[in-house]
Amino acid sequence: MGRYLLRRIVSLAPTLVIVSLLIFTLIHLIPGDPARVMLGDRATEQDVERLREELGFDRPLYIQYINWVKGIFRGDFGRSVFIRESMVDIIGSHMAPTIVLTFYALLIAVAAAIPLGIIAAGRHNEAAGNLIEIFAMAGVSIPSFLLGLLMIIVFAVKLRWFPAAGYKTIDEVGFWPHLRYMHMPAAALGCMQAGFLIRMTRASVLEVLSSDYIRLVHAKGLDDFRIIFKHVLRNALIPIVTTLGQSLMLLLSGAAVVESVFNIPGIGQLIIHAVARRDYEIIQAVVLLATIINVAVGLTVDVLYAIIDPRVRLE
Amino acid sequence: MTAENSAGPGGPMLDIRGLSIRFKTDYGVLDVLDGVSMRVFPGEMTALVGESGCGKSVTIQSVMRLHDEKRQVVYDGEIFFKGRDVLKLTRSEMRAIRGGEIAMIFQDSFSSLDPIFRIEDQLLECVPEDAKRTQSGARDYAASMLERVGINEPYLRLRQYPFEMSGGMRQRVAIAMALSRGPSLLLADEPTTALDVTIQAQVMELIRELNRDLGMGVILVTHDLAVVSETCERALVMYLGQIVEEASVGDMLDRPAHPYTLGLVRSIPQLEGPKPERLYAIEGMVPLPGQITRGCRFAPRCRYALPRCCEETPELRPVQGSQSARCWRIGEF
Repeated sequence: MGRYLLRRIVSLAPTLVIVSLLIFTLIHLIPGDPARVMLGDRATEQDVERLREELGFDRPLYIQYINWVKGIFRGDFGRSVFIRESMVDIIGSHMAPTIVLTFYALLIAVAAAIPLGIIAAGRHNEAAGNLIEIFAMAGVSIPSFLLGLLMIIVFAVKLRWFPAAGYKTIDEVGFWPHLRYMHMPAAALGCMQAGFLIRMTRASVLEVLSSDYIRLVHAKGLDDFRIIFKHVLRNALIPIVTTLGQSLMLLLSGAAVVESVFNIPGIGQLIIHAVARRDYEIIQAVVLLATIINVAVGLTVDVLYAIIDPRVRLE
Repeated sequence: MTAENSAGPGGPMLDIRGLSIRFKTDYGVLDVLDGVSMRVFPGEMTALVGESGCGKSVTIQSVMRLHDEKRQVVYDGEIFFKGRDVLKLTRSEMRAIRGGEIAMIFQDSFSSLDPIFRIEDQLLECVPEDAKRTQSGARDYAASMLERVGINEPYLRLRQYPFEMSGGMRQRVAIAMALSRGPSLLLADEPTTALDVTIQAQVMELIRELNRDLGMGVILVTHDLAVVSETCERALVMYLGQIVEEASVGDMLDRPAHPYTLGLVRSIPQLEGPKPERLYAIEGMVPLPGQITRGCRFAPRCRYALPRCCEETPELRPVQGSQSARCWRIGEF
């Protein structure tokens, strides 16, 4: 297990190098100039030049890249030209709501999807199974921003159960009130993944149910409970765990949309503003962070995969 | 007849009477078995022979009621095991019989062992309750079962996963599981088909030995007549969900009474004598259960078929001694 982990981590290094290079070049290919944005319309060409020099944007791109990478190894993720805070603070404060939103949405999706998927598989071709499938199909089809708006109308405006939009941190109001702002956004965000996961779980469970080894455990005289929860579920979980990593990443990127519907100051809002102002350093830092998260999620999934499936661990 | 139901000494332990099975599928109802009757006596090894899709596996799986009964299958007929009709048992009574008095081994031991559990986990599921009282007792019992089927270093093997073992070893493990609660009837569904020839012989020898030593009744489902001739006393030949011939293995091989059996026997490649131009094969393919025509089910592929064969359906009729066949032209070829 230790060697497997080490091998996986080493193989991640090239990914990070390539992605960081790509981010860097692509961002600098976007037309626009932060110095010009900072100084406004009436600045002279000379003022702009001077500021570019000051910020180091006049140097060759590869030097800028090397300096950036050097900085990262020193723990310096660059400095925003517009927000006078350290990069760690900027990203940290915007990341918190996004992380809460994403994991809450994943929790909702998984908690709904796995039991429903199992029921849908057990009762396929029956009314209950068909109903769940329709529900899953609907979940996959409705865009999260639309669902979010509908939820605001129903649960916030009409029923007044939850606040319509906005965000309060845990420090400001405490855990449960904080979560009250998150119920609707997380449900709106998680719905699509719930739909995917229901269908995934159903297909996976059905496949395992028709396998020879399940027929054998029936022939061994095991009771249905043991068969479902020991043999069927653990085998069916293997492909689902792999999907969970993808789900998490999709939720993270989908969070930007839901954040703007519910006006949550998350990473999505941060990056939209940064792109508009050509705030290179923030964009770079956020994209790099996203890459690292992606890679970390991938690694976690691989480890989980190895824990569930001995064939991966030992081969 | 009812008096014979009870499994008195000398009576059959398994008595299948007029078993018909229909599967409900998305494409309509399929007749999979039609009036299958067979008996198995204690200590007897009976072969169930036929091409793929003829209903051999369906027959033995219905003895354990392994079909999806909630929606898939409709049974008709009776399956008496030790005097009780298993088709009338409750789910929990059925569960007690499965893996207890009746055990089963499958064709492909790779796909029939759960890939993600150690042999130990899977074998312990079959260990009887009284051996399970202590953990070491259960392990010792499991290890002794592995030794019984000829596996060396059983304690090491218990810690392994199925994918770490060879095909022959896995099939031995599957047999060990089947034997764990001392079944009186073993249903072997093509147990050697997925194995090398040398391993095949070892596994068949093991089954044969257990059958002799433990007095276990065995139904061997196979399409390999060579295996049948070496191991079984009696054979039933199935075609399209019907028994077409029942005979002692010697009679079946020496003077097959049904054209289909004749075809099967002729299809065995001969090692001695001149090499034939081409190997013998029965013409055509097994039709799907939905495509069954009236008359004899084998008639469309039969080289001896008369007009009558396509019109009237023959019954199983005695030929000689204990041999019987489902053909209008018994003794004519």
